[in-house]
Amino acid sequence: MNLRKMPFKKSAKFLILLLTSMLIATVSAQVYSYMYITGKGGVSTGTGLKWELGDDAPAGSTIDGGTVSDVNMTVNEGNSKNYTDCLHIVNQDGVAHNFTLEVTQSPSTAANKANFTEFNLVLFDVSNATQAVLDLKTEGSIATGLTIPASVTWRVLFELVPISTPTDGATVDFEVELVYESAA
Amino acid sequence: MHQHNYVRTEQKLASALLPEFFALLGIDLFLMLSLLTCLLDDRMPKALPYIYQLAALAGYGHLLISKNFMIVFGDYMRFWYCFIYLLACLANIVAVNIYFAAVKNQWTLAKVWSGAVSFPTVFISIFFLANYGYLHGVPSFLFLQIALVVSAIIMGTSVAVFLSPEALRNILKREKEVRT
Repeated sequence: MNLRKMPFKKSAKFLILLLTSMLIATVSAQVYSYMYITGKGGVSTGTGLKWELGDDAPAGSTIDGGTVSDVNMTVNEGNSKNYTDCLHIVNQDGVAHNFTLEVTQSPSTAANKANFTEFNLVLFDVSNATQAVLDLKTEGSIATGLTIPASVTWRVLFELVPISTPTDGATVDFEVELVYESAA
Repeated sequence: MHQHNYVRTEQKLASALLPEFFALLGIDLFLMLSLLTCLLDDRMPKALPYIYQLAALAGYGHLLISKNFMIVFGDYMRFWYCFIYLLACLANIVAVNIYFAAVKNQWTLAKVWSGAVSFPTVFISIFFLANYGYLHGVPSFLFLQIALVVSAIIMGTSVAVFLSPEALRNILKREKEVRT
C-alpha cells in the first residue's frame, strides 16, 4: 500500500479514526491509572474501619493493627453457643464505607468440620438487623455490597452449633478478611 | 472442643497488575484493529473500523463500571469479565486472519497478518496472563509458560522465514548436499 497515493477521503477517515483512537486509549489509560493508584492507598491509623473486641470476646483475644488474633472459642458437646458481642466493626470516618467480608481460609479437615452443624459469623447493624452471614467452614463464603454508615459500630456474632457426639479436641481454624473501599 | 482462629482487616493492596489490565489491552487491540482495517478497507467491509471503535468504547465503559464497582465485584469476577473481553478481541484478530486466508484467498496478506498481528498479540496476551497468574499464586500455570515459549519459538521462526525465505531454502539445500 502506497500511503502517498492514499485518496483524501480515506486519509480523512483514517485521521479521524486515529484521533478517536488516541482519545479512547488516553481516557482508558487514565481510568486504569486511577484504579491502580486507588488500590495502592496506604494503611492509615485513626481513619477507616477497625476491629474492636466486644464484651463476649474470648479471653486472650488480641488486636494488632488491623489483625484480630487468638479468638479461641470453645463449645461443649451437644450445646450450641453464641458469642453474641464478640467483635465490633467500627467506622471511624465521617463517611460511609463499602466493604466485603470473606472467609479467605478454612484449612481444617472435613472430619473436624463435621463436628459442627453450624459455625457462622453473623454481622448485625446498629438496629440489630442481620447484614451478613458467613459460613466459617467454607472457604470463599463471602458477603459483598455491604455499606457501613458514617461513624457507626456494627456487631459481629459467632454462632457455634456442635453435633451431638463431637470428637473431643477437634479444631476448626478460619481466617476472615474485611476489605473496604477507602474514602477518595 | 476449641478453635484457633483469627480475623483480620486490611486495606486492599493492589498487585502489580490489576485485572482491568486485560480490558485495557483489549481496548488498545480493538483500536489497532480499527486502524488496520481502515487501511485495508478495499479488502474489508467498510463499517468494520467503526465497529471496532465502538467495541473499544464498550471496553472503556467496561473499565468505568469496574472502577465504580471495584469492591462489589471482587478480583475473581473482575478478572473473568476483563479476560473474556480480551478473548473477544483476540478472536476478532484471528477471524480477520481467517477472513483473508479463507474468504478472500489472499494468502500473502494472511501470512503477513499472522506474523505481524495475530502471533504478537496472542504472544503478548499469554505473557501478561502468565505474569498475572504468577502474581496471584496460581499453582498450575505451567501450561501457559509452555505456551509462551512455544509461541515465542513459532513467532521467531516465522519472522525469520518471512524476512528471508531464501536463507532457509539455502540452509535446507546445503543440508541435502552434505547428506548426499
